[in-house]
Amino acid sequence: MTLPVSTSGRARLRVDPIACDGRGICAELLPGLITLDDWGFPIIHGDVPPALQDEAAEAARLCPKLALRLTAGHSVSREAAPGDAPARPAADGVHARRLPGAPGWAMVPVLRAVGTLAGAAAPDAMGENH
Amino acid sequence: MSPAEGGTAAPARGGAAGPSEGGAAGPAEGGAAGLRRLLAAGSPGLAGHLARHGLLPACAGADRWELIGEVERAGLTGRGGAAFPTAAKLRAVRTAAAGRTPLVIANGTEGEPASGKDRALLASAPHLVLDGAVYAAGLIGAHEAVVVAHRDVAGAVTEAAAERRNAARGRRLGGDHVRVRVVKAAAGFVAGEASAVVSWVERGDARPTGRSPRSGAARPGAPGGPGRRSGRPVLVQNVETLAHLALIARYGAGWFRSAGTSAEPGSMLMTVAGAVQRPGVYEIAIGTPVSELIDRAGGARGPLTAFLVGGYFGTWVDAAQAAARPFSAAGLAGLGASPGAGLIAALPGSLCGLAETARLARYLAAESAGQCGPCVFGLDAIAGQLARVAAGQSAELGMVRRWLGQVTGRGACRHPDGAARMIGSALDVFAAETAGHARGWCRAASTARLLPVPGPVRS
Repeated sequence: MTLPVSTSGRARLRVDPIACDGRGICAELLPGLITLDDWGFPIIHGDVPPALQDEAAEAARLCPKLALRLTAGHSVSREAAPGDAPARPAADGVHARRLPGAPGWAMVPVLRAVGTLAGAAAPDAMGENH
Repeated sequence: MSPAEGGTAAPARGGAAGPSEGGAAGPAEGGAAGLRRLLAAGSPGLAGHLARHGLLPACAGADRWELIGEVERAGLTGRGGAAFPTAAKLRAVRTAAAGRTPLVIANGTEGEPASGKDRALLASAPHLVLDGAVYAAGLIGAHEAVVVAHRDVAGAVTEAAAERRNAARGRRLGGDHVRVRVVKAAAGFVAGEASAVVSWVERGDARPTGRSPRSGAARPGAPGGPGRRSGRPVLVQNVETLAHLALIARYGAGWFRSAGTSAEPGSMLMTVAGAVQRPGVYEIAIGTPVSELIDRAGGARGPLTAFLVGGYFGTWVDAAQAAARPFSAAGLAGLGASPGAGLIAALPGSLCGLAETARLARYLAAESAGQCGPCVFGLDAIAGQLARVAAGQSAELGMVRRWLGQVTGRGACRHPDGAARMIGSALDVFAAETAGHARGWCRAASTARLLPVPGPVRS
């Protein structure tokens, strides 16, 4: 599922879920952009706003497992990927929470969550063992 | 019921299929007893295969892009669960190869415990799969094809490959010159995921890597074991997909499209499991109504309440709502389901869907490759709460919903996504039972177990 997320070419943070050990340093350094799930593993909410670019680079550098990567973003559309905000069941009020932060980018995870939900109707079941 | 219609395996018990019985339908089409395309040869041997289908055409000397175009016109899609267009994948790997020699992997791992169709195919028509692997190799310029076969049938496939080597010396085989190697598949649910299969073949480690098998790129920092081919593009196709490819190579796109629907052409193998008279593997035209599938399997054993469609990563659907639906992506989409790896399991009214789901959830949690935190901790937490629901103990269903959202999209592979999808559909379809369980009662009269959940067997 390809969906437009940003036309401003913002950088993105990605978590390597295999390398990540849930130390939580990234969420401490970037509250609002990264929250932790119920087991302490990071959930990334949207692209990195320009104002947080330096902090994001610092967080990636300080990850003790080198599991956080900052990638320059210049595409105007992309695919939903692991590390994105998780798909949320529409009925789940607990999960519909919005992020604090500037209104300019807080909408991005909402858009993405919708995209992931739509994609869940026909998932690439178990990767692709077709 | 005619023998030609019968299933070929009892996958719920993990047995390999016997040879297919009954007369073969022509490539021009099967009759009322059902399609016999993939299982048309009637015996697994090379002589029967060649007598039925003739020599495999060679790609050498032909315009391969044009041959891939024929696959595109056929509309073949992957039969391992994701239904990705095969021609697009062939094109992508051929393009990505760019001077390097790619590799073909035929994926017959079949890690899905309730599914038996890949084993049935490899036991009944191994040469069709091997033909497909050879033809795919020809299309993308590979010199080697590796067949990863479920342990139940690895011996039979190895024999078939040996039989071909002898025939090739006598020029009685057809096709391009491609080295075929057979590898016994790793055990375990996630071992069949495409990147895990590549990792198994190249490094002996059947865990998903989170990298595209199409690019063949290795994980940065991955230990380079013997046989590692860093950066070599790999085409991973389900064995059934390759068997269809071998038929398209011979009979063409028009023939392939003469079965199935215009949007989803062709036939598919599927496993009918659960409360039916003759559980087993059947070949159907895509779009055959669900009720007809149940009839083909001898009918239901008692009233049915629900179906699990697609596999353990699939979707629970209400039996009455599903009965008239065509078994196809389009037909099942309205129920939030998809054919997946071609499985339908019938749940009888005498059994509890919540208890079944709780067992599957515990199994899937245990089958996590253990690499990604949200999958390891999330699926375990969800399974724990579902066990309480099934037992009629107080449980945090709101937390289960929350966790289903938190694990989705958070792994290197789709294991947590698939498990969350199946469990979420159970909470919807068995909502009334959930309310009953919360008050301490269950409508099911029996505590028997329906769906197979293997123990921790590892090869």
